[in-house]
Amino acid sequence: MNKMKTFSLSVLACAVAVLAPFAAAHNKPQYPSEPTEQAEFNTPDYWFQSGQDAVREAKTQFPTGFKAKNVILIVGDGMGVSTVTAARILDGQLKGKDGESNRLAFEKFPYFALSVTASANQQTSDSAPTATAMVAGIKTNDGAISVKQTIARNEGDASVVAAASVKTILEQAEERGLSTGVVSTARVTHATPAVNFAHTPNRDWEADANLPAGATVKDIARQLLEFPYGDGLEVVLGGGRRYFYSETEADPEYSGRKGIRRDGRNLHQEWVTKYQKSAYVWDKKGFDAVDVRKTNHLLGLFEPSHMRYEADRATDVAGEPSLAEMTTKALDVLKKNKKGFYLMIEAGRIDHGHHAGNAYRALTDTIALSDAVKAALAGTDPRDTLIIVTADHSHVFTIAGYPDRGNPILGKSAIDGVPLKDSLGLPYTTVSYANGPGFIGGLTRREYNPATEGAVAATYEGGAERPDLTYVDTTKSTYLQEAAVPMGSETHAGEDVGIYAFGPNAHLFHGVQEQHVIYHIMADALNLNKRSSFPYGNDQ
Amino acid sequence: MSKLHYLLFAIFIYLIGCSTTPNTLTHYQPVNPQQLRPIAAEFVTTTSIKGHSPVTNIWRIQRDSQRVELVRLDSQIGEIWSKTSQDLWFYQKAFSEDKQVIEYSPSDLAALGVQPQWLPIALAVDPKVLESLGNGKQGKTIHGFKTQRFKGKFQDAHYEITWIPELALAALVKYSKDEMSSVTEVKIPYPLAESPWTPLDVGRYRLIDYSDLGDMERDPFVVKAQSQLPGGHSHAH
Repeated sequence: MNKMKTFSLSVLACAVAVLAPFAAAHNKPQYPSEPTEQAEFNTPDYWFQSGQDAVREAKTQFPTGFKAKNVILIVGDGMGVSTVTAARILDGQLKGKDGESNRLAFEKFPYFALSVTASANQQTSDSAPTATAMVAGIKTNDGAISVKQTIARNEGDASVVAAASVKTILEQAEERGLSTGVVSTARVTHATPAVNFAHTPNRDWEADANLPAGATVKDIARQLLEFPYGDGLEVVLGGGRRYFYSETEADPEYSGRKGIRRDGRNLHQEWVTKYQKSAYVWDKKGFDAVDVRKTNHLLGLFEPSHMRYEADRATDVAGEPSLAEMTTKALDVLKKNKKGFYLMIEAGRIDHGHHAGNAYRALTDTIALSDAVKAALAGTDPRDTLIIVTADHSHVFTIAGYPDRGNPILGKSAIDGVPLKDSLGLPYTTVSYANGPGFIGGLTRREYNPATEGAVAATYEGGAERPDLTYVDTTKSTYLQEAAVPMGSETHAGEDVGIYAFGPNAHLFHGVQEQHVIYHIMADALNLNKRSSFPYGNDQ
Repeated sequence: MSKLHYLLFAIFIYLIGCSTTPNTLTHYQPVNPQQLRPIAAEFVTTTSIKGHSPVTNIWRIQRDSQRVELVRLDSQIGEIWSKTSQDLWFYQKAFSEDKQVIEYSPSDLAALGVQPQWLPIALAVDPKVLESLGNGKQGKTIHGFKTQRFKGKFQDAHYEITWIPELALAALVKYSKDEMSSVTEVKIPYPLAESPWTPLDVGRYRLIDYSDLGDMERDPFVVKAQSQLPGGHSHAH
């Protein structure tokens, strides 16, 4: 009898588990909204009540099903967990709200996992293998753009590269008749967008001018134009104009500057020639004038190299669209295809702000990514669209000290407005870097003394100590946060990054997952992850 | 003759004296960057540090109001500031032996808090130093050009500068601070159109964006060049 009861319960549980997602798919998933009524903020009652609310809300979350019509992968390049935390605080503080309880748009997604970013040969990775993992489903080596780890980084033989190439989710989507696009504030030939449509062992081969002598593999920009799957990408928006212009063609925005292509090709013109109902734009005016009803293939290249930081965008000579504006435009083009679409959106300059040791720009570009997420949410239906927000890797960016709640996140660590002091008696900033251009001087070095379990003076070759920041405005956009190790460019970090997901298959993100699992969940949602389309064939 | 006439006559005599006497007071007239005379010039800098043998370096500048280039002959490393639309400046550090160039866009410079510093290269001296030294004296003619001589302290360093106003170029800069001193002297300056040197052509060098350096930690050239890319830049000579 007991066995029967157990069996019946098991059947019931299985039925609920299997059917619930499908049943739930008919109900539009709820994007968490601000509570309408709450206790006075920052009181014991408030904290207890908000905890109760969180449990109640969690219980209303059900999987949205397994099949998606559309997939949007949004990558904050270098957007580690500390970057998200600092950006949420800055975003809130800029709005005059409590920064610590503020949430960026994607932080309200119901499903979350940690992504392990180590590549096939790197403990701390660059963007090429990490982005490859996300769109091609395998880990690979440093610098590799959607090719296997078996190929040498400087292999220039096209046939060898072709044999090592791994089909991407964008290519599979095109084969299935979906529309596809890439949007980035970096160059569209840069590693993260490039992994979608190009295959090359060296991420630096963005134009023919970058290829080594004798190489027969096509450069990344050319691969975009000669894309062989489906009817080609529908949307390409970002920077990197000079990789599409010949070395004799003048840049339309900056006097005295030209393209770098040596093959004489003007790929932006070829785009318009190749595709019917196509458009090429290079400034905000042209972008705004695009009629999406008449445009099926849109190429927008808004800078010779990377687009401006969000903090500098308003000062651009010809004007640039924001990441959110590009997202909306991309969706307007892609949604015309009733079969669905795949879109990657990259906030590429978060990474560059960090590399420059400039937290202001890294964080304001993270907020711009949050705005793009809002645009993606506004332009899609979560019942049929899987939206994933993640990072390719982290940065050596920290939030330190014991500042008060509400202390300016870019300011000096302070309690009741009184700056905290280091062991030299000097104030220090809340955010800083482990390495990078912000190195100014060395602290008198100390070592741990096991005999006394204390610190003892140790030899330090440098003479400079820390600067006195008392009268320095560390919140201004040009301030470079201090770094412990001097480097011309701050480095990536190797800890896990977050995966935030919403929509069909979002519930498959859980716990600590390897980064390449992202591809498999996306491909499964689009029903692409079949053996027949698996890129390796029988060569396993 | 009234007292007024005596006074006017005395002023007249004084003014004549000012224009002819070599050691009368003179002022630095700030340079108009938009009207920078196109020239090329070679300099020799000898640097001495107490306890070490003096080191001599030769470097060249080629300049106009749109582009300023400096090349160090010993290392073959060049710096190029080039102006584009809306008075924006790009900065390139060119490594000629490696055929590589690292470019800083206006956006990169803003992120690093670096103000475009092409004028100190173009003038062979930081104009802030000249402005701070106050009155100078007329100096001897150099390469056919009249000169001004300035002397004094700026930011705890002692300077002696011979300045050619007509070219907006320092002919001689003597610098000393603590145990270090240097002397920079111009050789023959040329009109840019008659420059015996061709401008650095980095069009076929490998072009690396500063913002991409962080993804190039394993690149042998970048590893080598890192030590010369502190993020901020100083061009005082």
